[in-house]
Amino acid sequence: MILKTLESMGALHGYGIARRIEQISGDEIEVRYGTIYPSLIKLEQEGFVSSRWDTSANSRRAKYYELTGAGRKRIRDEARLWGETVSLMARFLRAEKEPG
Amino acid sequence: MSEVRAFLLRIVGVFQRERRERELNEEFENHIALHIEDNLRAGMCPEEARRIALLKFGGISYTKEDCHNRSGLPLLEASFYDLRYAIRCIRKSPLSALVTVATLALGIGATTAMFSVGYGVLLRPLPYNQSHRLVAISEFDRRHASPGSGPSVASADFLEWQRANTVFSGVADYVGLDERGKVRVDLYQTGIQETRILKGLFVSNNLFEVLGVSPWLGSTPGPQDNHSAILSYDCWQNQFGADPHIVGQSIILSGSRSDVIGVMPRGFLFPNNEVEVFIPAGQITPDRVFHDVNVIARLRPGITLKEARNEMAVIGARLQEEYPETNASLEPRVDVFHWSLAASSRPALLMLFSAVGILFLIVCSNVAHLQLGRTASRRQEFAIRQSLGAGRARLIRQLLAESMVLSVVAGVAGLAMAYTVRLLILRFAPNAIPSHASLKIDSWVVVFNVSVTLLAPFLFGLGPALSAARNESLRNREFSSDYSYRRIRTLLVSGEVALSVVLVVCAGLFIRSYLQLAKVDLGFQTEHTLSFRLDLSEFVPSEDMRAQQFAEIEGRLLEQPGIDAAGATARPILGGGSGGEAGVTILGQERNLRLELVTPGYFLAMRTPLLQGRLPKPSDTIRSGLIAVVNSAFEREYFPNTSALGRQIGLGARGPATIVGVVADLKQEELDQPAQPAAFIPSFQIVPRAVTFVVHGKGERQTLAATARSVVHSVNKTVPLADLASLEDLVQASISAQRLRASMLSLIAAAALFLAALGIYGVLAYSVVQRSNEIGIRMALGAMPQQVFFAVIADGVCPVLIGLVFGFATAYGASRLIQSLLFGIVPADPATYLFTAVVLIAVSLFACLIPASKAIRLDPMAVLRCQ
Repeated sequence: MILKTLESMGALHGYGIARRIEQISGDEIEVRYGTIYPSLIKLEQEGFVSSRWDTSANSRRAKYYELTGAGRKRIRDEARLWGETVSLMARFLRAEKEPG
Repeated sequence: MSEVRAFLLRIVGVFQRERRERELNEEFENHIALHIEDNLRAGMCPEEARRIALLKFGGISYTKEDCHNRSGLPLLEASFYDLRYAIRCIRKSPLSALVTVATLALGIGATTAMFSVGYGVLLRPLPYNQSHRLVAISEFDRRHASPGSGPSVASADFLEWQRANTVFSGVADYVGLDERGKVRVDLYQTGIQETRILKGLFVSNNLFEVLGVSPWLGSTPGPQDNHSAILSYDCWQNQFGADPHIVGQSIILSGSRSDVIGVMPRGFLFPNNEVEVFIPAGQITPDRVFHDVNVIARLRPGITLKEARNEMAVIGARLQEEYPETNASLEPRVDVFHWSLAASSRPALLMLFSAVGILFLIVCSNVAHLQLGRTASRRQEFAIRQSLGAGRARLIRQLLAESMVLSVVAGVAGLAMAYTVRLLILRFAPNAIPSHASLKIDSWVVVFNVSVTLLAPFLFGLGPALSAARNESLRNREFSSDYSYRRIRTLLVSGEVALSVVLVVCAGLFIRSYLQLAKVDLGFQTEHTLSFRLDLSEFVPSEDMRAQQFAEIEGRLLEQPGIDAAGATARPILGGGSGGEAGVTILGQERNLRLELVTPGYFLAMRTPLLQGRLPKPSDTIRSGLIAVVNSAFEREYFPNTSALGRQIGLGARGPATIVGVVADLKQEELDQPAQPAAFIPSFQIVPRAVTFVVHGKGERQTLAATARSVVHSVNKTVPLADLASLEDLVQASISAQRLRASMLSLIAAAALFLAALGIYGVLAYSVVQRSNEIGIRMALGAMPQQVFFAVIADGVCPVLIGLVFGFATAYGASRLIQSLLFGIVPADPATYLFTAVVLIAVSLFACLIPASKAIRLDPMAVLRCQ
């Protein structure tokens, strides 16, 4: 979700990412904003996002996260995998509905 | 890939905690601020905006901890804390740490040093290609009880094996070793200024192919080459001045011209480092009588040792049928080559290694004492930490970290000690290492050292750590587990004493057998003597001339001032092994008897007592009737009730020899073997090729040697004097292995005793401190100082006695295992056991003395006031 957010929004600080996820999920997921930080550290260590300190629109210094090439590839892979899983599941569910 | 990257970054992260802390603070602050701004924009009041922002974020410190855990490696960081804390704790009590490290270093150093020796002798791959695929094939005679270690194969059988086998990719032989595996061939290099003796080995031309080693310079011999020589690297360096053009040159070796065709690489040795020249023998003449060949073979790829053994057994069985008169009782044996080289040193090495292992256990137990003492005095600290929430595992980890720090320091010191031991051995006892082995501190030794270092904390530290981390509440800390501590310690002391007893008993047995060996009645005197070997076979081909030259040398030696006796024998003195036997007729029966050729002056020079009759005289020559002098073992064996004088020994074609004298038994072969029946024939009647001269005279050995040399050269200018040594040296050399064994084991046993004494002292001293209340009260109530004194002594001696009993039982079992290494005593030698008991009790009483005298000096009033 973090990666996808970064893909659609470009470079963003932690607060922005958290808000965005909350918006997209339509407030269905109640996230504690703090929990995204350990995930960001993990993604950065794995090389899917990069970070830099920059000044925000309202002239505040903030750490901006950005998707890397590896991150983009990861999204494509994950999406494909998800697609496959979904279509597979869908086929099973359909098969159950067709008796005999 | 990304996981690996993440892991590496986390390791780096361990060291960036402070910077990370700063960044997280700033990032979180920023996050909250942005949220507050948004909330304000949405119309909240400032307090509400702030409250909602914080609420939404979740626990800040909790999140921060999560981030830290994710950025670094929490376990690693905790270990760092443990280590840092451990070092601080150790620095608080430097003396106890120093004693611990010194004790441990002794244990680790001794095991490492012993491992480096054992590894070098038994395990380090030999310098051949795939040396583990090489096997030694020997011929075992069922009629003899034990297979010897010397050459055992008849050349005809070797050729048959080479032809018939399908399991070896190559079979090669070599000739020139004696019974002990030492090189016996002296090659005389002539045609140069001074004749030089080179140690040689005759090898089959395919030997180097079988070994898979090519010469460093030049080439291997062709299949029919028999006029060539290959030099060892050291020989080329030392004897031929590292001449780069040596290959292709001709040298004269023992009278025949040989072309140097190669120089072996540095570090190459076969089968040990004594060989200087390899002589390819070319065609081999088959012979079924002399078993003087060693055989080495390389297993074909995919063939196992077992398969090779099976096939060789089949070939052996066929040869038994084909040649019943010579091969009936022979069977081939196949062993790993390295194994067969190390066979003779294995028992002693295993014994020493076990001894060092026992020492290591004692060391660990002693260090465990020390650790117990330390944890006992820190019990309050642990109790507080436990009540503040430290888990049991956490405390154990902490204590093990301390043990580990101590052990690592000791491990480094131990490695240094092993290195020093190596230097000492190379400097003072280079012969202690078998000549096929090299003593090096290489990566395997270091790996062993590190493993022992890492293992040790669990041996000595886990017990104390477990007992310290036992769940104890603060409340009863004053009385808790005092008893169980003492029980553990008493157990440890008993164990230590038992182990020390084993070592002291074994050391005692070795010292006793060494002393027995040293006072063996040699049948000759070693003082003021010099012996040297003269081989005239290359220089004087005619028998008559040789006899004449030997006589002339003996005569002229006797004329020299300062020399009062001189004589010679054909066999090397204390050369080891049996052999030299010949079929003779005694009382009409065929016998095997050791025959020895001696000059008239031999028994005088050796100072061997004449028991009956006369000694050989210069007048006993080829032309007079054959005579013989026998030893008293001969008389005991064949003429137990009558005198042997005047009897005859049939010497086959040479006719009968009349016995004219009986001399005392000479231990000429090995000191630990009983004297065999032997007959001595004057060498003027049967002339040997080479003799060993013995000169008895006053003065320095150097002057004696110089005199001997000038006398020999006045008779024969070219022959060199080989193996110059005094008889004392020869005797010492022949028992050097036993001496080394005895002294090594004594050293280990002494260290064990010292440590055991330290252990007893430690336990008792601690228990006196612990019981000072009780002692104080007793004394206040009227106990006499002697009573207290003896109570404390009894406290200390009790575990010693238990240890003694167990130790004796174990030692008795262990001493049966080393029986083969002993000489002249039984494993249950009462003197040794008595000595051990006395030493141990004396040592433990001494160790008890200080704490006991401290106990009676306790001031009861002071103790009671403390209450």
